[in-house]
Amino acid sequence: MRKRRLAGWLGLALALLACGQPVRAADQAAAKPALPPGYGEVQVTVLGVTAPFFVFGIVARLGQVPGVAHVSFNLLHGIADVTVKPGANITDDDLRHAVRNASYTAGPIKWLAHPSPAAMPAATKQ
Amino acid sequence: MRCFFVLLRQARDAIGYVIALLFVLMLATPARAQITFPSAAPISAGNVIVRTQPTATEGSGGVQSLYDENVVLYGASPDLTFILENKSIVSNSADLFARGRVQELNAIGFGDTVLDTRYVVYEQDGIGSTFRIAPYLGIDIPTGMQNTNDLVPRDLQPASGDWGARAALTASWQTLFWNAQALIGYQNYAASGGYQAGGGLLADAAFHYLIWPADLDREVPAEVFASLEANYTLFTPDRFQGENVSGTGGQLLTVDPGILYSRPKWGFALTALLPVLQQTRGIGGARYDYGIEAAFRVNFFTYHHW
Repeated sequence: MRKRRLAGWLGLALALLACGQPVRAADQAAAKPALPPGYGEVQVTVLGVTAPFFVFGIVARLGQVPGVAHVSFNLLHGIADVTVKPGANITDDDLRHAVRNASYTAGPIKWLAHPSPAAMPAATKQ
Repeated sequence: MRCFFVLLRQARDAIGYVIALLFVLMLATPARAQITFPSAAPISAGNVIVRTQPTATEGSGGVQSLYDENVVLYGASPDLTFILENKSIVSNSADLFARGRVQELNAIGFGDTVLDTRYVVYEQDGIGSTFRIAPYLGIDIPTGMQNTNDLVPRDLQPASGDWGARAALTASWQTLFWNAQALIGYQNYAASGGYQAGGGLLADAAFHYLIWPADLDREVPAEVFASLEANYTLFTPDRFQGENVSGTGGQLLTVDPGILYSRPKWGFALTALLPVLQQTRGIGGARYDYGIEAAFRVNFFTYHHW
């Protein structure tokens, strides 16, 4: 009886393994849409995130920062891609604070486009 | 239960002793496997995780246990987490000698509550990896029903009826493709009504291996892990009126294969609890045959935290 149950478990595990075919990068969403006019974009490296379950916390915390429009997260590279609303005044410290509140460690922060040209005309900042 | 001890006290002749011995043989339950201590995994400040964990176990002597354990975790700060565990809808049954014959008896009711506090004392984060160490302190609060059926022994009642304390040290090493966790702890109970449940050592180890998806270079909506856990308990016998209750306590080692489906907002796990080593102290211990545990988790977020 116990062997039969074990065989059932093994069968279930094998079935799931069979379903787990690799997902190729080419199958993923097409190229990222262009940033709407006036919006900013910043990439925050977050150390310590290992699974979608934990992505929930970091996305929620970064999304809580006033002025943040959208957050996505790449697990492999540990990078949170943050879209910032036009006119928002978000500092690196705001982002680091949000990462720490999420129980992770912030790495480099790279601004790809700033939402406030008047405050940062050069478009990039380290 | 009361009638058992009355019988035991009054068993002055051979027949009484034989009946009492049979009673003990029928009643004693094995040490219980336990997958209840959370790991040292990160929990964000303001994050609320609710988990419900229906479990069924079966042992010799018709011993069956069905219960649903509900767990609420709250991230009070990036390092501090409060964990509330409550066993609800506990149903224990066994073939017991009562009223002159062996019959299946059942005890159903609410279980006890445990409040744990966890604090991360060491943390080493990397890209896609984290290693953390966190001690736990917890108290068992006797909120449940410990006397729902007088004919059922105390260790088969839905709740212990005893205050207790536990302490543990847990470590988690998590990467994108596998997680390893270990725990060692100690649990003890206070005596009440002349009865004291046995306390002892808890040791767990768990390994989770990512089996889907293979490509993480994107937004990953869900993951499937294969899991293998080992749970070890070494408990002293229960004591009544200063004497050990035969067939209680002892050691139990289970190996628990399972599968885990995890999404950002919810997850589901199914685990088999298979004993590989078990030993009770004294005669009369029931054999633990197997258990099945399901777990469903939901993730919430609140802005309130320290």
